[in-house]
Amino acid sequence: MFNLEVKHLRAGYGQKIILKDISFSVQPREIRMILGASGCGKSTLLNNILKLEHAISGTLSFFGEEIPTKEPIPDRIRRRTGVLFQGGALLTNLTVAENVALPLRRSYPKLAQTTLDEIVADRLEKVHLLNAFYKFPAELSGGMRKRAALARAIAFEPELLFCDEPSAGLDPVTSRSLDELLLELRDTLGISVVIVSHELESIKTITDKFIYLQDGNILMDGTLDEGLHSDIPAIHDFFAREHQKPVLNRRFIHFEFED
Amino acid sequence: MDNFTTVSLPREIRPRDIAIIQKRCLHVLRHGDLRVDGSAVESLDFFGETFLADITTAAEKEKRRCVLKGFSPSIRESLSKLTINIVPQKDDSDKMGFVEKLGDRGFKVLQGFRDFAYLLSECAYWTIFKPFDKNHIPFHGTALQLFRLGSNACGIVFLLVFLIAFSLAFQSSSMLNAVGGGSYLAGGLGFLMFAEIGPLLSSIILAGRSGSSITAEIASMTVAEEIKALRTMGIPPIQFLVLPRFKALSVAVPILSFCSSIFGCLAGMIVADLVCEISPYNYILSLKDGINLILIVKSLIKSLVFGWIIALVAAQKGLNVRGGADAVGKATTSCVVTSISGIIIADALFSFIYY
Repeated sequence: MFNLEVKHLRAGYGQKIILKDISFSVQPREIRMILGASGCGKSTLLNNILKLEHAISGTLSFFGEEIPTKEPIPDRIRRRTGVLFQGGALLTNLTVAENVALPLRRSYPKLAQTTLDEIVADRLEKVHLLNAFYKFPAELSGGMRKRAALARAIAFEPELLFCDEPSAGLDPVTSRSLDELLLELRDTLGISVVIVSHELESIKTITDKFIYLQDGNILMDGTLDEGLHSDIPAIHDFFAREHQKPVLNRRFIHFEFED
Repeated sequence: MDNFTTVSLPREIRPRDIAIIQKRCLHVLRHGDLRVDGSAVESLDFFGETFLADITTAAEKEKRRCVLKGFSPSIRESLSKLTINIVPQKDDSDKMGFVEKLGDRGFKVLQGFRDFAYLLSECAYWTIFKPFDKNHIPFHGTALQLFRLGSNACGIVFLLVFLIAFSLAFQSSSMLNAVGGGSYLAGGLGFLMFAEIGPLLSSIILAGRSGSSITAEIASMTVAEEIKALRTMGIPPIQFLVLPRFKALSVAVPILSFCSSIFGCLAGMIVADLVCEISPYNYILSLKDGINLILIVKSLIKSLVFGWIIALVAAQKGLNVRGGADAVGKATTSCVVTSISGIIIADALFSFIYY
């Protein structure tokens, strides 16, 4: 059984179709990357999977259960998933602990505060951020904010974690430590992770499988090794960090000289 | 005989001089051919090269000749290799005509009404049925919002209403005294404060102070993906963010409006004592002529509706924001303008219904 299965997803904004026909699946304990050039629809795909936008057609199944296109994700499935947004998206008027406790309080309002605090402390410990328990997001660095957001995303110890550009805006060392943290969480909690990313180093470190989007379709669905040895120009260029030479859009000026 | 006019270039072509030289060259090209004398020029940087390219292109367009004279061999060589970026043409295919713009604006206004009605129905539903609906979220926050949006605004609301009522009473008292009607000041001012000035002024001040703060806060959250994060956690933003503010302003605006009306009457009492020589005791007795329970109830209902307008317009503007920091600023401005306009329109409707 797949943790996530996307079949023939078609989505866009108004008249504009961004994703034409997307199908892929995510197995348990798999780290699946969504790759592609900027503006190819990676974030749109993630938003559609999370039901933040409604797809035009196609089916989505979480843990073997199909969710109709226009229906929101039911709470029983939501509790088995977590989301890490690009900027962390922590509520700035709440402390780190309150942010992590938010989804728990939503689902279990009668949970005692002491129990809640212990769970929050455990999640913060997992992301090595216990010392930020009482701090506000504004007091944290970019990397710490991402880790705090990750703690909130794993509040329910989910089986499926979505990350939108987790390394964006982080220095290489912090980015590396976040990658290692994701691998650690995969190993300790046994979760599957779906990541939208551009960071090649990060991709090479943690990817099991990837899909590469181009022109609203999946150009390639394969393992990291297959991607690294691919002959498809766009995939090759992506992993080789090369870019296609732009068409020259310049003109010569013919000056007339007089002696 | 040739038709050339010579423009000599200085030794150094500085970016700030280019505009003046270019203007002269273009003027020459409109009437004849141009000769650019560069014998004094020692070196040419990117700006100078682009300038010469522009002049040459302009000459081609005008079907004139532009010849360069006296430039050093090194400059000539560098110019012969010069290429210029073609500036991309602006894509106007999406540009709307007047009628389309009008239709688009009308559609957006209708969308605004729809969103307002949706927010109002959601807030009304959750205010009444929250304890009975199993889908309610276990978060509160109305007390905090009541403090932030209401209590903290007391000072400025009371002060401004007091001062406006003071000047209003002062100006009308001199007119009333002139016709021997100073004793009508209390009743007239009391009626005016509760029927119009109190609710209207306090709501307008709150729209500027609390409404803008609601929009700025929610809009910033929208831009920072916090609203998206709430939705992925199964927390409806309307229940979590809008409802506490809606409830807080539903309570705060009528209370502030009532209290500010009293402050306005107090201002009138000071003026009556100083200008019309009406004692505070007689002033309070005369107030009864203008104020009654029905008027107060009408004033409270009016203020309640004004509070809803402030809360819902502010929330709607905040939730619908798209873009970055500039969009937050625009949404805040739009919130203040829309809610003040809404309050004044609603006030006109109330005047029509009540009186």
